[in-house]
Amino acid sequence: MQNLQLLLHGFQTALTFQNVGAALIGAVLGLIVGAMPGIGSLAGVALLLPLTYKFNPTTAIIMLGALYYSNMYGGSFSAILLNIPGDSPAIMTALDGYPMASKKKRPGQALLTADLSSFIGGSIGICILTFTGPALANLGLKFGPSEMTALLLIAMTSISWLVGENPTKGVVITMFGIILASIGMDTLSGVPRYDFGNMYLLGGIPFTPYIIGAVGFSQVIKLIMERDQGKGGAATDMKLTIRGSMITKHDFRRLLPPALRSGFLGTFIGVLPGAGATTGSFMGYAVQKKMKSEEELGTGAIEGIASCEAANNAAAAGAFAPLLALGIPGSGTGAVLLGGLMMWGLNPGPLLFTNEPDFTWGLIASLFLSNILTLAIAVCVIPFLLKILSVPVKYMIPCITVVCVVGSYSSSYSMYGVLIMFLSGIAGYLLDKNDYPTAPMLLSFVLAPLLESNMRKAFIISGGSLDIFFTRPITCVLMVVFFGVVATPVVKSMMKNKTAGKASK
Amino acid sequence: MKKVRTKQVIPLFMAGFAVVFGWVGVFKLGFWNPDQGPAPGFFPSIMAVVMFLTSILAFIQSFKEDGTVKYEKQELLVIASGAGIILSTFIIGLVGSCFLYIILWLKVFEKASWKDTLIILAVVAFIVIGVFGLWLGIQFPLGLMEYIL
Amino acid sequence: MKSRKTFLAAGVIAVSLIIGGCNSKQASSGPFVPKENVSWVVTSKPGGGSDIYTRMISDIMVSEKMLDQTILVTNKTDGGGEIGRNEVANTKGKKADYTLLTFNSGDLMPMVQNTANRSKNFRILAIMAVDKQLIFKGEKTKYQDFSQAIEAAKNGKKVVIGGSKGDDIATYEAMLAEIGLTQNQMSYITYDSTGDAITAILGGHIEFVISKPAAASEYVEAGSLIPVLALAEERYTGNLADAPTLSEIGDYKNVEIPVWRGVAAPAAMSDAAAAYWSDLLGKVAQTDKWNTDYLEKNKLVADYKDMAEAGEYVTKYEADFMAANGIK
Repeated sequence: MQNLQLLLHGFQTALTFQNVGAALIGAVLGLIVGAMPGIGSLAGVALLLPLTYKFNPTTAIIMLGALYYSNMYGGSFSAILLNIPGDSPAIMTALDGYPMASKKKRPGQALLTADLSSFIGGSIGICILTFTGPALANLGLKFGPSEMTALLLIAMTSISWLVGENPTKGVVITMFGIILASIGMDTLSGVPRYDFGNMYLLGGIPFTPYIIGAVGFSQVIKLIMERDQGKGGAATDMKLTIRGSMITKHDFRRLLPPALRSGFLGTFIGVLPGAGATTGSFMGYAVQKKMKSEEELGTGAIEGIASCEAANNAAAAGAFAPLLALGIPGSGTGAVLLGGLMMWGLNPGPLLFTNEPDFTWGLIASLFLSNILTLAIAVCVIPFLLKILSVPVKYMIPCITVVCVVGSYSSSYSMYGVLIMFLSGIAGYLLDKNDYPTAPMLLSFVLAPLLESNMRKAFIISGGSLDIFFTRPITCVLMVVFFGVVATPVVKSMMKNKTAGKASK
Repeated sequence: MKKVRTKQVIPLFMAGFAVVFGWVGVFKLGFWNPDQGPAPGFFPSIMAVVMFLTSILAFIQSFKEDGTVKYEKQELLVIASGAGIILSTFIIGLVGSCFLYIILWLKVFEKASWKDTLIILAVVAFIVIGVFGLWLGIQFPLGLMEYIL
Repeated sequence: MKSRKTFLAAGVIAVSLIIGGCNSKQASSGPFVPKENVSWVVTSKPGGGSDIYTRMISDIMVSEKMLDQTILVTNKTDGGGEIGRNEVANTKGKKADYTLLTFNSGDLMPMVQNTANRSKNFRILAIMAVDKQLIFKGEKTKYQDFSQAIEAAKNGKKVVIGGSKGDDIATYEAMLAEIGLTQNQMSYITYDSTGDAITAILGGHIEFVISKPAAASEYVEAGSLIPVLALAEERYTGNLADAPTLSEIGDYKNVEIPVWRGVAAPAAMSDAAAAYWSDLLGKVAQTDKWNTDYLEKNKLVADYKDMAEAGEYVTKYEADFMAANGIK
């Protein structure tokens, strides 16, 4: 109950004119930054940080919190409308969002689904944060290298659920992603890997340009064949108004269960050290894949959009728990926020909740506030966003190309980024033409380095022994789940063969 | 042999890629350290082995697939224009090349009217210079212009 | 409102850039006066320690009206920062007078290890501050103090220390050499940042963590980290005073590997410009803002070294580091 009181006090802080204004500005800026490919929440927060020095810390963090938060909404816009994820958590959104907008001709509904599920996921995350904040953060701490290894093994195997009709190609492409990710400095040993004497490769393949290329630029190359169809995504016969974007009751009933489930799952993943929103949205989607959906995932199913959008917003909220309770950043963006806290003269750490209740509870209250504000703004901009679809494809092509180039340059201030974008665009195009799915390549690129470094840390702790994966309770449970996940399809197919064999006799 | 058969070329390329990474991983980076567990080459080389095997499998399977992949000239044009932007950046800078590309693309390839071209140019200019350049404070490379200024 | 103001400001900058660009054609002899925007390269991510350090200095230069020009800080993180450093090293001509680089011991180490770039390819303008490290134990650590851990490691128990890259590893290795343990007896896990290593020790996954005072300070305050060893010539003060130095816990010599933060420039920077910048940095080092808002807050040691001194210092540091790691 005490938390509730503190929260109410927090609302008093957050609901001043100045702070609501700050949240509003943050939300709008976050939407814009999120929708621009190349500028993710990390860069967005970092670039805007200096702007906030002039404010008092509470107002400043409210603005940045709102910005960080609304970024997750913004990333889904370009994913749904153009099949170009604004940032990495939106990769999963594009899988169902784009088909829903282009093939099913329901772009408005897709956007609204994304907005609503983001809202639901985010609300769950913030509520959990409010009531269990520090306890939640301590739970996250229990996840050491061995636990994370087991969890990531489960995640990696569930990539196989996404590979589509040809499993062989799926595995090849997953491995390709993993191996690309291993280029660059190896943190644990401090040795350069696979740099082939090239100074650029020493730092590895930069993630953002790689994604912009593999998803965005390759999309442009394909798009050119559709340009004679006139309007983009064949939007001519669609109602491009907010009323035409309303989802039906039935749609909402489909949206709710995955959004709720992903909300809890996403919050939990957000709390884990170093896991982040991308892992969250992916796990949300993967779990949905195992559940029943009305339409198959990947063909434009509402469930698909809801499961990943809810999870990534929940993860974004969950990441605040270790940040506020322990001063531990759960993601790169968290680290920048942490830097911001120090610049404003606050000392992030285990004492922040006790020493600065105004600040922490003001921030949590402002998350509630910005969640609502962002939803309102995001719904209101739908009609304007849909206007993008009425631009002829032939005009879209040069525009998207330029945005891809500029966005990938901006992610690291270098032409190397543009080059990577260009090459991975061609690679994505060739692979797609030959029926290789590209999503597993992107996901394994994100997850594999986490898996590898956690696994190796676990081995250093255990002195090279495998015991560590079975003697610790959480790890052991996760490992059992992992083996279950691996064994189920094998057992299933064996059973099938058996019955099939019997039937043929 | 007709055209380039990418259906076979891709798995072969992947297999070759796997061989290089696996070889470097095992022999250059080290596989296992008895006291510390996996060495830097451990993880990538295992993945490379799996990748090699599945690539070969994909190569064999590729002969069973029917239909050849068709590459359109226009698609290659998009790739060429991307390359063009990158190359001309070193001469007239990133922003300049982007604008030049838009004008050329719309006027020469799409044969759009001047009005449409200018409108699109204005929109792109707003995004590139307004949002990225001024608001987010990103400095774009100027190419050779840097030396002239 | 906010963004409109920025737009305006940016417009003014754009205009002044054009005008400035035209004027600067007349080459002048005599003392160097900056007439153009200054580009300052940071080779790590926004929000990190080096980034904050850089923005602090540039902020002081502009807000205290020491400099009329705008400083544009760019984070060039490609190739682990090597690309940015290499670009600065190869900057020639007039631009060299307007290019600065944040250059720390943590930047020098990987550069020397992984590339052919050396500190002589730069002009070291100044060293602004020096930091040292401590070893901390967590609440779940089995050992009372560090000498117990050394004993345990000698008797075949594996002890795991966590820490960040670069500086922390160098200090760890120097300490092991002094104690006479191998890396298998007392292992080190490299985390991407000190923050990650602290996360791990809070969860009880590692026994000790090596950190600079600033990053650990809050946790010491809260009692979740306890300083057990000062890797310095003498003890710290304040809440870190309890940690003994290495010579106090056994028959060892003290180990101190200074972690310095400096500013460098292209080797091609003109003498007049280098003198100007070095002098300006010296003025920054004397401001109140620098001393209270940066040094004190981060528990750093004020240790300004001018161009001549800093150059000598870095050269020696580099030579020692290369000798210790067998780099030619």
